[in-house]
Amino acid sequence: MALSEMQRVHSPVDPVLYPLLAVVLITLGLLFTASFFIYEVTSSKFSRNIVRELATGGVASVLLGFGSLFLLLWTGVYV
Amino acid sequence: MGRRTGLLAVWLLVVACYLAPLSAANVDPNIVNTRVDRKLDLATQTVRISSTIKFENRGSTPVRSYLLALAPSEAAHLAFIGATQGKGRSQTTLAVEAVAGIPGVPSSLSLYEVALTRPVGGGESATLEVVSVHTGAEVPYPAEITQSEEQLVLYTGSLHLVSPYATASESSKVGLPTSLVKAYTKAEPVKKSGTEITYGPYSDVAPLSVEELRIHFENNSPFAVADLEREIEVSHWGNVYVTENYKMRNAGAKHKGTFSRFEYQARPGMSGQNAIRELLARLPPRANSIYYRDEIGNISTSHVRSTSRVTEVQLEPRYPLMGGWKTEFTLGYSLPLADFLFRAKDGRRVLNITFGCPLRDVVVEDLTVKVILPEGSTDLTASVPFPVAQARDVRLTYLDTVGRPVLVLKKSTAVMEHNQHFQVSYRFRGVALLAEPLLLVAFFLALFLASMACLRVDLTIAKSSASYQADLHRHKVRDILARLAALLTARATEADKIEAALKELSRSGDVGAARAARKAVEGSLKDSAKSVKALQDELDGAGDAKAAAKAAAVVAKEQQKVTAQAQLAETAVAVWEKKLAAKDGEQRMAALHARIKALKQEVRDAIQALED
Repeated sequence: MALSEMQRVHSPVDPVLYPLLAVVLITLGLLFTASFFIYEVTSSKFSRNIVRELATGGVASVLLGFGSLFLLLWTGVYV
Repeated sequence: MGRRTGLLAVWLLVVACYLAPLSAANVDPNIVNTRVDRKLDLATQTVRISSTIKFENRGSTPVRSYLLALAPSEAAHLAFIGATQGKGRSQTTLAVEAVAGIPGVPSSLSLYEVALTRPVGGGESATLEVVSVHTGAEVPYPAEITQSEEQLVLYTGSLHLVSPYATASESSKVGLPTSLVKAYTKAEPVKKSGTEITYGPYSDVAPLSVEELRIHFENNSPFAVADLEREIEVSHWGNVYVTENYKMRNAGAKHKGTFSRFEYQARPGMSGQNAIRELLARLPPRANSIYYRDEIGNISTSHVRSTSRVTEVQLEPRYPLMGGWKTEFTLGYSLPLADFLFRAKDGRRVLNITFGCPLRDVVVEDLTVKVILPEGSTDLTASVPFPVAQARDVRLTYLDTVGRPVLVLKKSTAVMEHNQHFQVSYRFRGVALLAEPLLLVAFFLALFLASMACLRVDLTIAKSSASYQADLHRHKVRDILARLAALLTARATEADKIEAALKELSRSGDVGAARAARKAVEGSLKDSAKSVKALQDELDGAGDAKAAAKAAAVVAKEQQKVTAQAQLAETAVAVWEKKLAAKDGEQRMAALHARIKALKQEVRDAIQALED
């Protein structure tokens, strides 16, 4: 099959968006991280709610995970 | 009996000898080269011989293939051989294959069979263009020169096109870099004018005539020879990284004596003439993030020019490479993915990128091309237009778990002609792209889980100490008070619904709806009152009298407020049902409103005090 008949493969996310995504996702991720740790240090062993901890931590890690991926891509470390 | 078998063997041998010339891969005596024009380009270190061969089939059976031969001196240095037919847009590349063991041809000669595009019938003529590239055919002579001397080289080749067929007329033109020629083979007719030597025309050259051609001439063009390792790393996030590690040396006449930088700088055209001063790399368009460094660090002498068709990088080695000197450096660049990666209809990804060295006029002795594909790629196949050695490897880099599949392609003696596109096709599932971000997510999640676990570990040694117990007790009471505060706040919101229902009543006059709303609110308040009682019991159980008193006060205050709100609702409904004079009702309601307002504030303050 000739190459001219094939479809070009593009990145799933336009590389132009990498800086924006990195900044937005990491900012939100850090906010959730802050909220997670504030809750951790203000709650006591009696008042702690594991569901709330896992939810905040989970959201924060998803945001930070994708944010740091786009940060790597933005800086030129194409993983 | 024995005599008879002997006779049979002889007879068979005769038949075999007679039949042999008729097989396909034999020299067809009916082919005659009617005209051969050769051009020998000796301007650089690589010798390019392009021959235009016009041949005629004087037999009656059509000819499908044409044989080419190379003299041992040419074959030893052969890097590339190719044949084309036709000119301009109709030019087609023909398959050239090495063949051996053809009767009538000495085994010292290398033979190549060219498959013609269409058979040449009896009496017909056809024209072939054959290009062969030879490296190392120009030997520096003398082998060592001083800085101020020019480089002289000795070329040994073949005077004729070595052909298994008879040649009617042949001429050769030799192109030289300068007009300085020390000696050359004088096979009449021969003419030298300027930078060109013309041999021939020779008529009726016998098949397989080998005559040596020797030219001793000046050639100052740099003899850059390198070992090159190219790494092509594909990232589906939109990039193709290329890293090229060069081990380069100047294979020209060796530098003799000391090197004078002053003389080199002061007389650029006269000193260190065979030195490699700069290199030119022709990279694909839209190449970016180009870097050039060696072991010490960045080499700043480089220039980049980009056009829509090519990105040219001009590099100067850290020091001029005099004859025999070596250097090692790395050239790296990034390319946009969409220019090189394609998706076939069956879902396979196809990488289409150039194979050879992007530097101009460099002979690569050992070329290794490593194609590093994203993690999760399977079923790798390469299609290269010339023979290469293939191997597989695995590479672990950023965010890898099982490693990236690597296809290693090796080729010895690569020249400009090998700078062709090749394809690597592989299977890749789009989901595999998520592996890297999910790895990062898992890493952060592990951090959060670790900190959760750390806070849950109680490392107190003296668990029975008074201060520890007091602390525990304080936390427990505070937690109950916080829960009580939350519950009371929720109750306040619930109770406020009564007032909202009354407002609705004053607008619509629907007494039934107001009654129903009040009933619902009172029901839910009754339920939550049980929870309040339970919390109060828990507080009593904890044995903190002060906190229990504080809580009881708040609960009592809150009860007063709820009662006042109930009274307000009763009064309003009574007024609407005309059981109460409007004037009295207004007065009573105004008083209740004021009382509720004050109580609300008190309850709010008391709840806040619980949490402090």
